[in-house]
Amino acid sequence: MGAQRFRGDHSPDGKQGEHHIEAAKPLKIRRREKPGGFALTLMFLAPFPLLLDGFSKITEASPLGAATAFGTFALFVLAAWTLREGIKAEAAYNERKIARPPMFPRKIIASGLSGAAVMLAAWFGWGQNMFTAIGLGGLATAAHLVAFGVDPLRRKGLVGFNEYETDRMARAVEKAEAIIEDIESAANRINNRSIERKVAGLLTSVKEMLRVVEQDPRDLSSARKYMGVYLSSARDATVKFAELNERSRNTVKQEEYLSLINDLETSFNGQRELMLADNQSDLDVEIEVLQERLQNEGHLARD
Amino acid sequence: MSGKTIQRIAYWVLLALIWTVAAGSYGWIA
Repeated sequence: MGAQRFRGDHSPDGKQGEHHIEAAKPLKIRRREKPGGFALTLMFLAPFPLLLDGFSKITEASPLGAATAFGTFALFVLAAWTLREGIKAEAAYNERKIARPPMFPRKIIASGLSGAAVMLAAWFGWGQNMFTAIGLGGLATAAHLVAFGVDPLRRKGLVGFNEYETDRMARAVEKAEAIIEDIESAANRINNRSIERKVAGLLTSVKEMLRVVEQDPRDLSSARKYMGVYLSSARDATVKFAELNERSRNTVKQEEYLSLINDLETSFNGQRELMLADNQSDLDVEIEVLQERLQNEGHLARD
Repeated sequence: MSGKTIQRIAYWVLLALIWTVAAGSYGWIA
């Protein structure tokens, strides 16, 4: 997972003394934790007796019984997997300032799947009567809903911007975040700490820019080039460099790649500053207009 | 009882249910 690896003077790619400067920088990128953790792992493990049941049905030469057992087990796994996706989507939703509700309410679907699986297992596997099975299934669905909650169902956005603008921006931000993930995974493949750190620095700048765009959708048009073209070229370059690096280490290409990442980081930071300055001048205008109005209405006449 | 406690209880109820029906299917529970 996301632990920062130790890097000292004697580490393979650590130049003498260099790490003292780099260590002073705070690690800004928060690596995503595995969603759900141990609680979710148990959800995957709990139905495993059904697997044993499936195999024993095979030895008893009961194909229908085996199919039922394996099918129910698969349904439990599908439910747990859907739940994990739902927890991931919810974390992404919470991280954003502006977000659309997920297209599929995954946690709610997972509740339904769990309930159905419990019902099927109780009815056909365990051999309880239909009413008991339905009761247990209903109980499982309810417990699932209480334990894991429901998906965020409402649009999270800014007052004063219409649905179209908010949607357009949420889509653009989602796309950019998908590219960021691609870059992260490609950079991890390179397996070189100084490159990983450089890329992490660039991605921090990109993420900060996304947050600025989210605060003011009007910035989207000026940021679009950065979030689209530049970011995808960064991804393509990173993927190509990772592939090249897997075959052979090439210091010249590495220098070129690092300088590209540097340039991109500088320009992302520049663009973000520009957008913030722009917002500030908007505020100045608003204050001026308001002051003038107050003056005209006599509230500031005594000044 | 806090919301967190209720959530925890619901989680264990769910887990127990899943385990019980699975174990029942295998014949561990008569």
